[in-house]
Amino acid sequence: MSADASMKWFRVASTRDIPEREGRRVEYGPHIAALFNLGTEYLAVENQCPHKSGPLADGIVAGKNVFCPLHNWKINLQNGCALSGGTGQVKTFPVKVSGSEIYLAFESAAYQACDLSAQAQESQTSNPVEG
Amino acid sequence: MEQKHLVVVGDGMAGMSCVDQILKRKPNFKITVLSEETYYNYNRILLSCVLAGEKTVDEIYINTKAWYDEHGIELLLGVKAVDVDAKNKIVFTADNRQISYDLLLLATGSNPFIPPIAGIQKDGVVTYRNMADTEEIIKRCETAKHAVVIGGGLLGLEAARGTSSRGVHTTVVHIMDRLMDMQLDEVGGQFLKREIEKLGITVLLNANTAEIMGDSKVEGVSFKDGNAVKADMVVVACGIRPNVELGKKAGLKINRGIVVNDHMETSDPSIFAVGECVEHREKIYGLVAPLYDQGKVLAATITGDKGPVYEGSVLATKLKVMGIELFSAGDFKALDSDKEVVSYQDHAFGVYKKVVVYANWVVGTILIGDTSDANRLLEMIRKQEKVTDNRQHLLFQKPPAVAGSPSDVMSRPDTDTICGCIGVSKGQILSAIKEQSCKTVSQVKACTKASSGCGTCAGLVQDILVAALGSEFQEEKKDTLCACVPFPKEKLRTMIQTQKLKSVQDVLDIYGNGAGCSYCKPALSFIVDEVHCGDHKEDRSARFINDRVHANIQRDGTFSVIPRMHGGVTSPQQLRKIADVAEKYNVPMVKVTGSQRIDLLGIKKEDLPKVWADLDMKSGHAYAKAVRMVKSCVGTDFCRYGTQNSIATGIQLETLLEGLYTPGKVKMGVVGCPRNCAEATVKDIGLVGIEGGWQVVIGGAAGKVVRAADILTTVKTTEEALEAALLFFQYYRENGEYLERTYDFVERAGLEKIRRETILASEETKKGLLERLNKARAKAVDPWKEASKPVHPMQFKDFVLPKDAEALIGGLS
Repeated sequence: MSADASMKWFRVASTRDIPEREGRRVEYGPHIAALFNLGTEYLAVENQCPHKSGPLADGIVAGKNVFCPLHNWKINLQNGCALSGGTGQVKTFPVKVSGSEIYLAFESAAYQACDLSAQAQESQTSNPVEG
Repeated sequence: MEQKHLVVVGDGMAGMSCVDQILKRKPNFKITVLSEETYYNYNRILLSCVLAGEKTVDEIYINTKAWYDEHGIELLLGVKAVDVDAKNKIVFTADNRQISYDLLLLATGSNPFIPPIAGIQKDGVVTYRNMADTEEIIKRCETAKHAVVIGGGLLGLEAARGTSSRGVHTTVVHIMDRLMDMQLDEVGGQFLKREIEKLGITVLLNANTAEIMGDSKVEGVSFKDGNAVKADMVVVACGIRPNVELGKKAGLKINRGIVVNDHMETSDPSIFAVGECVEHREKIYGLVAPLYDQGKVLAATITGDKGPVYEGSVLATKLKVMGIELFSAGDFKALDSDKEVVSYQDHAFGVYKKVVVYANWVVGTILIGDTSDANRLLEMIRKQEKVTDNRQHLLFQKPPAVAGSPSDVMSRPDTDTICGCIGVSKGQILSAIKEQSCKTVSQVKACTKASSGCGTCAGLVQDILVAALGSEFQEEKKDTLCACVPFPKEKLRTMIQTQKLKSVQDVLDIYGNGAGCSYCKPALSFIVDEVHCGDHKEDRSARFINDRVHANIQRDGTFSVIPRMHGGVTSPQQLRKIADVAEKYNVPMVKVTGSQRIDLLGIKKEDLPKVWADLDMKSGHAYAKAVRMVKSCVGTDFCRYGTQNSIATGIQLETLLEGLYTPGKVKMGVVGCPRNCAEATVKDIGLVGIEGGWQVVIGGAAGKVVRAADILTTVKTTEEALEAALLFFQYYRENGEYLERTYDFVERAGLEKIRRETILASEETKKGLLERLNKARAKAVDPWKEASKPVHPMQFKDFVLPKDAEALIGGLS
């Protein structure tokens, strides 16, 4: 994310509002993000899985990834790319923490470059999940 | 060539491994094996696992009848050889047989050393050496309250772990100032003592036993310093002595053991000896790896190949006590001033590593708490490698260049030994993978026998498989929990228990990759909860969304709410409340479920706490791997066919078990007669009313799999039926694998075993199961109470910004 001087930062929540390793749905106008507390940082992606629009904010966080609660696609939170389940990606939102407040630049959401070799490796090792 | 008759005395690991090596050389031998024991050749090292209940007897056989038959070996079980006439080449047996031989192989092993303690012949004193001893101890554990193990060496500690894990309060008494004094230095002894005490075992050091007290039966043990401890069982594990009786009778040269040369020949050209009864270059080996090496050389000698010689082995020991890792090898004491010691101690973690270096060679090591480097260090000792180049990585291996890649086993030469017990090299494993298409650890085990001894090299075998096969490598089915936490599930439960790990993240940080995944995080959530009977540290982030917000997520991200209706019975008041809630929250769909419940579908996450408060009913757990429901038919209250009160019993069963979590969901049914209107015979647990009693059925399913339930038992009273259901329920909770439904569990565990360990188990065992169930029940709370007390104040919160929310532009620091 480049530090764009014209970025519009919205205060969305306090750092204590989101438990560690959980996500929350954050909405502003047409923008719906899933904001995650990874303990060391906060990351946000679009809150709809590229597969069937599942709410990623409700997924299980594992390292820097989240598993969609509907069909277990694994999405990387740093670049929004699907690592297992299938191919696809979501946009990421710039996030900043200032003091105890979390800010999100809703209008600067963007797709990031995906690492295809990481996807290939992951597709070998995904676990079955029963609904 | 004329056929020769080879008579082998002893059916143990050393003898049969040697016979196996002899067979590989295809000599023209007729082989007869005499065994005093009445079991087929079994893996003596794994007796500790049988004692601790981690393996069954069947699981530790190395060779079964089929193997003897296949090789035309005559096996005489329960036949004791008592004398040898070396001149006329005849073996005499206790049952008066005379067996002539051309070649005699003595593999008589060793006998337990019984110290001359007053009262040692009393009833309740047992030794710990063979299968019969093990079964005797297991039997006595059923009634014993206090066990004293005399001897704090390897065998003593394994015995103590066994009796302790069977619920017997155990004290280890050791005459020396530290445990395993033959394998550990002072610091190591301290580390080990702490680890043993963590298992709930009492350790008394410098304890010189004076007398076994009691009239005819054991009542206690007294010491020379005047102290005493109570005991109703005493296990003697004071070491072993080579069994040289037969060697003596044959007139062989005997020192402490039967003396052999580098070709494994005794002083009689027709008699050979191998194993623990043997003394080679004044050393006696009691561990399996050297005995296998001896067997290989002996196989060559006896078949006329004078090439191979045995030159002695490095002594190495691994303690096989679940939850404690310990390895010791070579010269670990470093008493001479020219030996250097490199060591690391972490008391909080219980990790002690010590490597002894002499003139740039590794000559000995002690590893406690982390033995992942045991093979690497043992190999360095054996090969006398110089350590100049990699000295900074002596204690901690260089981390792999790519995170998550297998250990450095692939950078080591093909000649390196991977399986120390059987003596299988990396090259042999690679060729099994290549030429025999082995793709899993157990296939490699079948082809090469690697990891069939103590089993600790299985991780290295897997590393080799992964490196050699890449994506073609197949995970062992249901072996380890998951790639994130690569430990067998059973072992993991024990580790979580003994290490008192109370949160999922602790387990992931200590035993896993720190991150986990959507499979292992919920699985570990269940395990830490179940192992600690609800006394764990709840981490909602490790739970699936359904278990965070206690409702079932739907395809559009809304949730379904199903309140509990015990036995499928409701009331006008409940129905009114449900109707009011449905209207108030604009519930788009109200549906009657297949489980005799009412489902409110399409509820927003934020509304969930309000819906629960308005309903004022308990959670039906229809979203969780938990007790779902008990479905019932109307039974004797109304039905003209009913033979039992199925409604009241159904409500009772549901009330007894509601709120408990399980490996997979548990659906239950209670029917008043065999017409089975509430389909109890396709439920995980069902009670089927019959004239004068109940059938308790388990493992039924009518889902992805359709399976008729098996009858666990038939009983007369409702109380008995409920107790049988509860026993199976708790047994499944403790032994089922996460996501494993009862229909798979019953088939995997076996109905007979389940019966034996639940309804047919000792009163003690049953009491234990029910006590742990009650403990968990006492901890279970209705999750919908979180309506007023959420785990996190923002648990159900979405953050919606108003349209006119103001933004800060650009420079936000």
